[in-house]
This record gives sequence, C-alpha cells and structure tokens, in this order.
Amino acid sequence: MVPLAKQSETSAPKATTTPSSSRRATKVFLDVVLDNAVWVLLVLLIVILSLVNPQFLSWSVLQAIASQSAVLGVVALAVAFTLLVGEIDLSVSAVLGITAFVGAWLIINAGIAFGFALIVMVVLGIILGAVNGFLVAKVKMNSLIETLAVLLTLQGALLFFAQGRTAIGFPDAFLWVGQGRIGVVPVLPVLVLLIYLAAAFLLRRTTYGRRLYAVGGNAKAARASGIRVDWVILSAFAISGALAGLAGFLLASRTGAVTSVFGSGYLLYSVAAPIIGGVSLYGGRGNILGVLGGVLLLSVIDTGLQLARISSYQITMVGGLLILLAVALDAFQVRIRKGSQSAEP
Amino acid sequence: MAIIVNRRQLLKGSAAVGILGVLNACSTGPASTSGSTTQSKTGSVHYANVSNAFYFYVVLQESIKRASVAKGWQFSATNANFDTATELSQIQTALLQNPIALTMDTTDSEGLVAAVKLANAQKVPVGVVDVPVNGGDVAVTVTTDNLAIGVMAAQKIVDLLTVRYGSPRGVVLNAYGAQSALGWRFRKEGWDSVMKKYPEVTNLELSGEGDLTKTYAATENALAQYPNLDAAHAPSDYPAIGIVEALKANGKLFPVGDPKHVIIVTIDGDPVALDWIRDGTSDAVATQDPIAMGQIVIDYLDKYSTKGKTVPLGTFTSDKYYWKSAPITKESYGPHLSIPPYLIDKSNVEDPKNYGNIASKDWKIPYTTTDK
Amino acid sequence: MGKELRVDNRRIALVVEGVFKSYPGSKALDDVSVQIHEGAIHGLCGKNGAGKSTLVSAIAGLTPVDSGTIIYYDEDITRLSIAAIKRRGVRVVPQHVAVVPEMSVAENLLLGEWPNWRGVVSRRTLMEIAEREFSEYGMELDVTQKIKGFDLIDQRKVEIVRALFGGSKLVILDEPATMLDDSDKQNLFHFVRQLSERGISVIYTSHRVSELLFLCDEITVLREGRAVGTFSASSLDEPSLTRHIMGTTDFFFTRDRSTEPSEHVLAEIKDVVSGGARGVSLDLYEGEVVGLVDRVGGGGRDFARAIAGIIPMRAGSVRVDGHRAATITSPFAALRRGIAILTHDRHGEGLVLGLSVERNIPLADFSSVSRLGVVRSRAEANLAATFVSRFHIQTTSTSALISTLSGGNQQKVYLSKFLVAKPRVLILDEPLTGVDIAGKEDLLAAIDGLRQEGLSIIYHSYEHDEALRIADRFAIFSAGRIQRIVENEGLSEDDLFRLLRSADDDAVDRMEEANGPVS
Repeated sequence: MVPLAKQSETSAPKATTTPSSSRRATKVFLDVVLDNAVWVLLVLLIVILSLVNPQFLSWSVLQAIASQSAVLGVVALAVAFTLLVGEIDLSVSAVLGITAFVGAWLIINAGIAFGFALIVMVVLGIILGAVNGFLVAKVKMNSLIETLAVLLTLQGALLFFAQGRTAIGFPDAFLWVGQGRIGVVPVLPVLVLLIYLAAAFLLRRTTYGRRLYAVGGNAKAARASGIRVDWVILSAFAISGALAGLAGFLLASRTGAVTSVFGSGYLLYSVAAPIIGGVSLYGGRGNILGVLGGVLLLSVIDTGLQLARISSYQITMVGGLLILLAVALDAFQVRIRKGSQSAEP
Repeated sequence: MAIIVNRRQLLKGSAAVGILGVLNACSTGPASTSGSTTQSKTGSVHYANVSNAFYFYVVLQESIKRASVAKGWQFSATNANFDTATELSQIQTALLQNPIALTMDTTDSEGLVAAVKLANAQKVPVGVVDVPVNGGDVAVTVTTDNLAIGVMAAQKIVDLLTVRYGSPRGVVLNAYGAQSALGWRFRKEGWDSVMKKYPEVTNLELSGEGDLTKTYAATENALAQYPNLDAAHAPSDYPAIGIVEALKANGKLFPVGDPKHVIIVTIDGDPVALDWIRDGTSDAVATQDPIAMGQIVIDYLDKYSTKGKTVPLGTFTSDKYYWKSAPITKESYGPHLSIPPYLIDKSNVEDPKNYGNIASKDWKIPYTTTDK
Repeated sequence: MGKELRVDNRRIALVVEGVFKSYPGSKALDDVSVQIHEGAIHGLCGKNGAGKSTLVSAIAGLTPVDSGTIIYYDEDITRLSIAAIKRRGVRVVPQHVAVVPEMSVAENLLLGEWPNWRGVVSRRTLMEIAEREFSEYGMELDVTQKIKGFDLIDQRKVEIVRALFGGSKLVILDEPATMLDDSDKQNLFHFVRQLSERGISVIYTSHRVSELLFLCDEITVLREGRAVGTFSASSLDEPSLTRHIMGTTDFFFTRDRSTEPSEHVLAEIKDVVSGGARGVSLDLYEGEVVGLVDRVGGGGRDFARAIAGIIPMRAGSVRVDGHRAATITSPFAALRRGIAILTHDRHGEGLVLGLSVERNIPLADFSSVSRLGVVRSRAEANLAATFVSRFHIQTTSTSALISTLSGGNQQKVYLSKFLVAKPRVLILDEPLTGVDIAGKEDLLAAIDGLRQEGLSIIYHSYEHDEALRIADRFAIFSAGRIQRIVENEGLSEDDLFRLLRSADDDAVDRMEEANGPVS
C-alpha cells in the first residue's frame, strides 16, 4: 500500500479525516465482522450450542466435526473454483462417485497398488472436469445445464456399473487416510487442511490466481488484457474435477466401501457451502477462508443440532432456517458495504 | 426494505431466534407418548434411522423408542435420508454421547460396516434392524426375511391366478422398487425366483422406484400395453397407492369378487393395506413386523449385550407375535434373528397383532393427515 | 468573475439559494446560488469534485442539503422526497443509458408505467401513447422494435423523452453527448433546442467546453463547491470559460513539436477486413500519432479493434517491427506482437471493477511482478506506485478499489495496464471520455510522452478538437476504407469535416467506378 499526499479526487468526497478514534474502532470492528459474516455466525452458533449442551465443546466433538466436514470441504472447494471464474459445477458429487468406483475396482478387483489407483482417480477427475470445461468455455454451453447433464449421466453410469452392488475390501493402507490417526489427531482433516492451504496459495499468490479472479470479475476486460479466458475457464473446471476425484478417494477411504449412489448426498451442500462463505455466484468474488467457514458452518449445524437432541423430524427444517439466516446475513453485509469491500482473496 | 435497524440488532435477533428454536425443539418423535416420562440416569439408546418419509420406518423408530423408554432409557434418533455418508457421520456423532447401545437400520449393508466398527471400538453394543450390516461385530440383528416376503407375495398372486384361470397364467405387473435399496432388491429377487417357475404367467417388470408417482405411471403404462391386466404388485404399500389410484383413474378398480377385479398383493402391511383388504380393493399383503423388530432388539440388548453377555442362538418363540417363532442363526457379523413374513387377507385382517392395527389404533400414529 | 446575470422578464423555473452540503472532511456545496430561467438551456460545469453531481443530486432530492432552499416554480422542494420531486416534473437523465435492451422502444418509454387494466398490459394503448409522444418531438421510430437495435443517439433521445413523459418541465441531462459523433451530436443539440422552445428548462452538464458554448444560453461554473458565477454563453469563449473552470491557465498541454515522427515504419497493416472495415491499409511510423477520422459505422473503430484482436479479423495482416506478418486472432495474439488497445468502454472491457488499482495493472503482463508464477505483492505495489507518480493518479492508495477512482484516474490506470506490456503500437479509442479538464490535459501530455518514446499511436475519437491537438496526421475514413491521409498542418475542425464530406464523395466515386452508378 502506497498512500499519497494528495487528497483523493472522487466525485463524492470521501472521509479522509477520522472523526474520533472510538468511532473508527467501531467501524473497523464492524468491517471485520461483516467481511467474515460466516465466521461470526459460526462462532455464535458454537456458543449457543455449547450453552445447550456443554459437551459440545469437547475435543472428541470437534474432531468428529473435523472428520465429517473433511470430504465436504474438498467438494466445496471444487465448486468454489468454478464459481470464482463465473461458472458453476453441479457434477462434482457424481465425479466423486464414479472415480471412487473406478478406484475401488482397480484396487480390489484388479489388485492395482493403491498409490497408482489414486493417481488414476485424480486423473479421471481431471479428464471429466476438462470435458466440462471444454463444453463450457469453447462450445459455450451454459455451465449450469451442462454440468447438470453430466451429473445425471455420471450418476446413471455409476448405477449401471455398480448394478446395485457395493465395493468393499480395501487394504488397510488405503483406509488409513480416511480412518487413521497420527497420535490423537485424525489424518483426514489434516490432509484436507493442507489441500486448502495449497488452494489458498494458488489463488492469492500466483499469477494463475490473479487471472482467475480477473476472468470471473470481468471476462471481457480480462480477454482484452490478453488473458486467454477460455483456457482459464477450462482449467478451473479441470481443477474442480481433480478435487472431486480426490474427494472420491477420501470418502471411499473414510467409509471403507463404495456404493452405487456414492456421493449423492453432497450435491446440495457442495454448492451451498462456498456461497454461504461469500463466494459470489457472478464470479470474481470470494476467498478460501470463506469456503472453509461455509463448510464448517454446515457441519456444525448438522452435528450440533443432533447433539442438542433436536428431534430428527425437526433437524432438517431447523438446519434449513439457519442456512437461510447465514445467507441473509451475507447478503445484508454486501448491501451496506457496497463498493468499499474488496473482491480479492 | 430492512425491518432491522442495524447489524448489531440483527445479530442479537438471530441469536435469540436460534436459542428459542433450540429450546423449543428439544422434544423427540411424533406421536404422543403414553409410556413413562422418567429420565432415567442409566443410559441412552440411539437409533440411526434410514428415513422419516415412510410409515414403516416411522413405526420402526417408534417401536424402538417405546421399548427403550420402557426400560428406563433415554432415546435419540437421527434420519440419514437414504445417504450412507450421512448415516456414518450421524452415528459417529451419536457415539460421542456414549450411548448404552446403538440401534440402526442401514442404508447400505457394506457401507455401514465402518460405523459398526466405530461402535465396537468404543465397546457400545450394536443392534441392527430391518436390513443387516455385513461386517463388524453386531450384538444382534433382527430383520425381516425380505427374500421370503418377495416369494410369498409372488406365490400368492400365482395362486390367485390359478383360482381364476384353472392354471397359472395371466399378466401381472411388478412395479419393482429402486434396486439401490436392499430390501426392495431382495424382494424382487424372491419375486423373480417364483415367477421363473411359471412360464405361462407374463411377468411385466416396470420400475416404480418405490415412488408413488412413478408407480402410478408404471401402472398406466402397463394398462396401455395390457388393458386386461390380471394382477399388480408393488414391493411396499406406499407406492402401491399409485397402483390403486391409477386403476381407479382408468376405470379398472373393481373389488374382490367382481370378475373384472385386478388382483393386488402388496408387501409391508401399513394401515392403508389393511383398509384395502377390508374394503376389497386388494387381496392380500405379505407383512413384516417392525414393531416386533424394535421390541426384540431392545429386549435382547437389555437382557444380554448391555450386561456383557452374548445373544444365544436357537429359536425365538413368543405368543406376543402372530408369527410365533423365528430362528436365530450365526452369521459372520453376529447372531441374526430372521422374522418370517406372513400373509394377511380377509381372514386375519382384524388380528390385533398386525402392526398396521397396533400402530394406527393403539399407538395412534396416523397414516394420513386426516386420520385421528 | 464574469458579467452579472442580467435581470429580465422571463419566468424563473428553479431557484437554488444559499445551498450548503458538507461531508465529513469536505464541503461539497458552499453557499451555491443559481437561477434557471424557464425554457433556458443552462450549462453546468466544473472539474471533478467541484460539486456538479452533488448539486444535481440535491435538486433531484437524492441528497439532502444541510441548509439553503431549492424552489421550483414558487414551491419549496428542498425537503421533498425523490418521488414527490419527480411528480412535480423535475427529472434527471443519467449519463449511462439505462434501458432494457430486450424490450421495445414503447415498453422502455413507459418503463414501470405501462398502461394496463388490472395488471394486464394493453399493448395497443402502449404503442399508441409511444407513437404520440415521439411524434410530438418530431421523432419517427418504430416503437415496436427492441431498443437494442437502435443507435446510441436514438436510445439517448428515448431516455430523454421518457424523462419528459408526464409533463416534466425541468430536465437535467448528464453528459448526454458522450460518444456521439458529430452528426449525432447535432441531432442531439437540435433536439434539446426543441425542448427549450417548448418551454422546458434544461440543465446540461458537460466537461466539453465547446459543447457548452455552442448549445447553452447560460453557464454556471462550479469550482471547489462554490459557484464561480453564472455567465451568458455569448459573453464567453473557450479560453475564458476554461479559465473559470480551472482557476488558472498554466496546465494546458501543447504538443512538443521538437520530436518529429521518424522515417522508420514500425508497423505495416494491410487490407484489414472486419466489421465495418472493408480493406484498410496503413503504415505506422515510429513516434507518431495517427488520428482516425470517421463517422459512426465508417470503419475506423472496427479497424482499430480488429488489429488489436478485440473483434475477429476476417482478412488482412499486421506486421510489427519486422516480424512475420500475421492475421490477429485475439487480444493475446495482438499483445504478443506489441499491439495494445484502450477501448472506448473502459468499464466493460478495460478494468475489473472488483479489484484494486494495483491488481488491475499487471493483468496484461505479470512478468515484472512475479517469478515462476508466484506474485510478489511488494513488486506489485511498487509497480502501481510508479504509475501513480508518473501519471499523477489520484487515489487514496494503490490497494483502493478501482471503482473509487474518478473517470480520468481510471483511464490513467487503464493506460498503465497496457504500458506494462510494453507495446510498440498503442491504440486509443475515445481515451478522454468522462475525463474532466485537468485529467484531459494530463492524459494528452502522457500520450505525447509515449509518442516521444517511439510508440506508434492510433487515436480514434469523434471529438475532433482533441485529436487535432495531438495527431501528426489523419486517416479519413468513409465506407469502410481510408479515403485520404493528410498531415496535421494547421488544420481546424471545419477542415476535418470538409475532409470527411469529400471522403464520402470519394467513396461514392470509387464504388461507382467499381459497380456502376449509385443511386
């Protein structure tokens, strides 16, 4: 940041002299609160839930939440990449399912080493993602409908190949990632956290990340700047596919089995989590921290409501209302902050 | 425009709403409890349910709940909405509360092995109902023999066709259920194994997915191909409503005894199926016993597993239940009690042991919104 | 101060009396008083930040004033709501056309007030009303057509008619002549005069001194929140009006004639066909500014955009600095060859509004701020800082959002972005749009500086007076081709118009030669 001596020359005069330090402190506090509305809501929810059930704040509960949100975290990240570039990927949960099935077949039926099978799963995810990317970026299909069609196709493919059977019999090494621990710390959430750090680095600190935000923010301007918009969009979908393939591995490892409807439960939340976390549907806005916040919020709602012994008949409804509240809060803070909040990571 | 004045008030307001919602919602289950309200300190039982959307599952949950409460235990339940990963997470969370026992129905026999193992590691005894889990150490499994129930329904239809035509022939619709659900898969297997033996019977297979609307459509498609359909079947009563409605809408619904009557035999035994038998809409229903499942699993968990004993094999007998006795066999995952299905028709529809009667009359779990 | 406002017997439509408006830290309006006569075309001008938009806002009721009164036809409207003021007949037409492209002209005209019976729109009444309105103003439009099919000038006029619908007597036009070529401008001016003759008072804001002097009866100049004065247009000329606006005289850009364009041909452009350009060839010399003179649709803009890869080049080739000649297929390809363009639409095609200044600048070329694909934020900030000081960009900091900068400063950032990519050929399409007087001089100086560094610059604008100040020579377009090229030796605006007209004749002659007589 390089401040200047001259006063800013904008048509509506901006406040350059701060009225009083206490008022400025309030403004800074509110800025932080509203910038990270999802985290504020998360903390608030945790406080309320621990008041209702003091057991909530224990290490084992937090671990459980961490493990349960891990796979959702990866699929939400996948969708976030496509949202940032101004598109959407609804096929993530189905890519998860089909790559998990292929991996399972390779490992269990064909006896392939699990490291190699993992690579195949991720590569398959990349290929499927790239197909999406190609159809959206080059053939100019609408991403909502295109990925929806791919979702149905892949879900159907999984049903067809699985024929109602469930794949089991993974080697222990395979299951260690999803179910194992290092000391008292479960492996799965730690791994996902590393993935998040890598994604945050990619988006914040690399030229690729800058190009992604530019394309999402104003594709025409990005193109006019010499950015190859088509490739950026395609690559965002490829990354989404790779993450979905990775999620397939992680979920299979956690469950120890691959069913014929594997992954179908993640569809709604994979899209909801990043949007709750502040990633804009129009593209070019949002950050990784927000996605993480959205994922955790949804997981805390699920787990917390269950631990609060809310009847299973009411959990769905209460959970839905809380999500509505989170989205409303996010929309509200955008309204009052319009213009002064950065879209950057 | 915004009613809320500023952000602080909004946050405060939402906190208030959240607290109110939580406090208000701290009740469990639908129907009124006529049982005890004691909050015993001896422990709690959790039931991981597969769905809250079908009467059968609701009755099963209610049965387990009543049995647990009668033992002086607390009861909690979750609904996985047919998703394996969700059920696994819900069980993991439930185990955090150290229940005295874990009961569960399963979305997938293989997929939930990991959940059973989690419970085993924590030394929480597991009771599985309705669909078995194929691994881990399950203290007791109480299920309906879904294969046998499919066979029973199919055979009944064949018998009725034989009565009508003198020999086993005719056209029967099997609006089979989604094959990803184990119960329905086994029922179809049972059905098919019977139909194979009677090549003169045209076995029209149209997928109803266990969904009312799709079963309705399947019935209409069947009628379009075979306007003189002889019989129709759905593997659960709820989607079978689609069969009845479709027949009615197409002017093909005639009561038992009428020469144009379309033979209907369903599976489950919900109150609606019993009403159909009473008024002659359908001929029979091959019934399960979710009430028994719930009672037996809690009973055995209480008598044996929570006291560190293993459930004995052999034969279970009780006059409390219509079917009277059931074998307990040893499977790879533990002792398995397989409740035999039985047929309900006009002769025994009023029997007070039918779960459809108990649930609707004694427990007052309404089947429709207009039932009292 | 100029002469005092003459007192006469014409009715006063609007009186602004002693209006004050402050924001924390600055006075937007400082004791401003203005009188608008009924039926006058009253100009309003001043630098950015001088208070023009605040004053317009205050009159329309969007911004409450701290003290003072605003009286409209003897009624005090100072504290009335926006809706109430609109009902009384005070309307604002904003600078950027805000129409619904997919709706018809008639539907746009009566936007939100479509005639209906219990919620069902009656199409026939709609069309009838629309046709009646337009014919009153002498406009013949097919009101059933979608508005997106009409030229900018017609869309603007529809917007003005919309504002007047319902009997408005005072309309405020915010820079309505932006991006119109000369004939469209005349069209607009004629239209505005019509309004004035019908007794409608017009407040006309603009940065363009020549426009104001041509069209307005009276002009009010604001400077730093104060009304410098209200002058009759006939008492002013361009230098004196500019002086009132700026407050000083020593900021004018004048071309540095000491450096002449070199003899070296930097770029050879041959037979470009794209959009309205039908075979354009041009050689560009190092260190020169070539102005493109055309009418809307004459091919100049499309030519410029095609060689920069913005629109596809159907035929033709470009060869820069001796490299291989090639057809340009994308902006990426153009930039690789050293061709950059600042288009006329800086919001739509130029800047990413959601990003900050320092993040917009490296978008065309990251190499100086990154290593192995990783961005170094210090380098990014420094790069932005160098441009800020080089072009005197006014911003609170380099991490401020681009949207907070004024038009002129945004344009400077836009320019900086492409300079990072070190272009050899720089194309500027209406670079001074929406830029105030001080900003304009700054930008012209910057452009001249680039010329001196050896860039070839193509300058396309309908504002010929700007182009005359900077160009070395002019390419005159007509019918999609360059008909003549002239040196900028003592040319005036009238000369350029004459050249345009003769270019049209030349074009017709050529076509007749090729295809037989044109009717």
